[in-house]
Amino acid sequence: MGSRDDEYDYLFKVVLIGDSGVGKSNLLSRFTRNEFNLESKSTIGVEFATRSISVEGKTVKAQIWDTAGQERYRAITSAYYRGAVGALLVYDIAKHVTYENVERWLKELRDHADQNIVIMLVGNKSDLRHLRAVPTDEAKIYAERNQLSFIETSALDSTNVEAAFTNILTEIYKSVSNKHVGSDRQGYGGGGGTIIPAPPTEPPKKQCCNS
Amino acid sequence: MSGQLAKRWICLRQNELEQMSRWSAGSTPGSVKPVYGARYPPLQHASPTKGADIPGRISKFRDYENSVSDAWDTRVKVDETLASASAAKVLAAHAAGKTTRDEEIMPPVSAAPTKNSRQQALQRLAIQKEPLPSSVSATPQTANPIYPKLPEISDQPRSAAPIASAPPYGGDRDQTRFARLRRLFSNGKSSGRSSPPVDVDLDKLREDCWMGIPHKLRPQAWRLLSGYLPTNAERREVTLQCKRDEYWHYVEQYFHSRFEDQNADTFRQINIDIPRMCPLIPLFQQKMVQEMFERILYIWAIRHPASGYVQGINDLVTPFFVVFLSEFIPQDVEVGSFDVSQLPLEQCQLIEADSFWCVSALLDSIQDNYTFAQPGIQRKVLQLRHLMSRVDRPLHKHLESNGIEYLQFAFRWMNNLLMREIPLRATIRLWDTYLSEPDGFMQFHNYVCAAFLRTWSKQLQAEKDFQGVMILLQNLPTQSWGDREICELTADAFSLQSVFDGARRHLSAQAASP
Repeated sequence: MGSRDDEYDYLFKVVLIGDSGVGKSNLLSRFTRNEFNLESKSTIGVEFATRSISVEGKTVKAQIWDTAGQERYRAITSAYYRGAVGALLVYDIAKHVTYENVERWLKELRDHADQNIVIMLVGNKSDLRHLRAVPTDEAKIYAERNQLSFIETSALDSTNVEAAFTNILTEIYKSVSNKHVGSDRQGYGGGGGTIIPAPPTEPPKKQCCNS
Repeated sequence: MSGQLAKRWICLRQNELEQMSRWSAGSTPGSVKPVYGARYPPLQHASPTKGADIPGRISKFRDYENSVSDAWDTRVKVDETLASASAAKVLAAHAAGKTTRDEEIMPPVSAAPTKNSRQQALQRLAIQKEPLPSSVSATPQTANPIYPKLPEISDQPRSAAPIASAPPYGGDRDQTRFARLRRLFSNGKSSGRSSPPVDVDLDKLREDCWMGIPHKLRPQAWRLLSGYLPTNAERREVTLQCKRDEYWHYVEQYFHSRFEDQNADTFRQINIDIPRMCPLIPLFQQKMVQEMFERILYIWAIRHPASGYVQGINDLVTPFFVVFLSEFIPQDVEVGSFDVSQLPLEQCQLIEADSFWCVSALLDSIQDNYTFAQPGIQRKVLQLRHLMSRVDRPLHKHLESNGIEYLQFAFRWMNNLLMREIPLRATIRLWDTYLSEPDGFMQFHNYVCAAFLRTWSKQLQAEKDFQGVMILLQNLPTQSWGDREICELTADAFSLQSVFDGARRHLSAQAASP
């Protein structure tokens, strides 16, 4: 199965975090396999998936780690923030408590993730219009104040899912191509940096680091 | 069919064949030799393929020999009794596999009634995965019921045995074993039979249950093996009544507190998880069943504040629930689609209370899996890694060189006791064995995980990058697993335990570094 989409210019590790039941796993399956599972099982620990997209003519491969939402798992899942260059912080627009907890998740990231990590606030389940508990404007203002990008998605009807991932990957790509983080190549298998621009000549294969 | 199976065995078991050669050549654990010889009957089928590859084979032997050599240096004594018990079990495992009990364990059932067919179709679509290219799952997937039904008596001649030349003693073994179990659980009224003993010998019971329990006897056997039901027959009724009353007393005492501030998070989490539990089994979508689970999980959580409710614990209730429910369901009805509201209230209450006490006993033995930072799981994942570096070094190296950390996939194996990796009916069959092991869920599980991982050694090593290995590890093709696979798995795990359990020092940190 390996050789299908091995050709890429950049490999970005992105984590999906947020409260239990907000739809992280379905965002991931919608983006990577175009699938939605009405009653998917709860995620235990972390789960992994990947997809490549094109950003400004470059192939960017996203290696996405879906984490379990329950508090008890934080000690385990926080290990997966290491080396992540992007985080989708997901809440449920129909459950206000999951939005209130965004603050705690930001603290998690500040404590465990790279300080340059690109964070996108994602209000999921936008299809539940009649049940909305978090106004779009409120979340938008909150995101601006905390320098997060913001989007509302529906994994169920696919709204904005593609856009959410494309936006964050583009944002990461831009910050990488500006800053040139290519030296950050240590930590193979140990959770080190994951932004790996390919060397210009040889085909970029298996030079990534998977933490 | 039989050819495919044989091929699959060959493919899966090449590692063991190599190890067998190492062990039969070496002198130390000599008694293990017949075990492996017996367990992997397709030796003669394997030899042509293997013969073509002798140099590679030898170097692999050497690798393996090097990796375990110090295990023998420190004069590990192989326990004769253990080894012969291992041999007996593995022989029996082989015999069991040979008789293809599958048809009786997994009888064909009509499709589950659909409450909401569109939703279910969507779900099925959603979880359908592309077949993994390297998958060896040769058995076509049929409609498998969730409940494993071991035959009452396996006396019919079986066809399609994968190894035609194997001796036919497996059926006899099962028969005598089942006969002993039936006598044990009979009420003594049947004509011409001696009445069951007043005291059940738990060790003997474990021995007879290890290879799988006939489904009719399973509920009572599980209660005994869980330590819930007293071994003394005279105390059983009283104790059961007391315990069941006690549970309902807890419900009365605690359940109303679920909306109070300090408990609301716990109950909210339970509420989020229950509808997501076994989403494709209609049984668990019934409101009444979900309410039973709410009580079981909430009462347990409230009474165990050190861990509280942790996602995954809900899964662990399901085997008990299904087994105790099966006691009240006509044999030809599929448990997974049974409408629980048809049962009288007292039977539902009994199922709920018994599930609570048995899952409590199970969780008591693994509670540090769920306390803060989950130290039990971290320790077990580390042990698994060390064990794998000993028993399948090529695979271990392959994982490590691709940057795979054991925690990334084995966390779930430990947290949910492999329940997410195999179908529910296989889990129930596996728990026959876990409950029959003195330290099944705590200790033996780790050897089962090692055996499970090396089952996929070939396919995993065929994946050439992190992504390929990881995706395969998360979606191992076990959909068709049943009794046979669990027999193989547990026999392999038992052998590993026999070899390594007396030498745990070898699984300590210094052993693992590549």
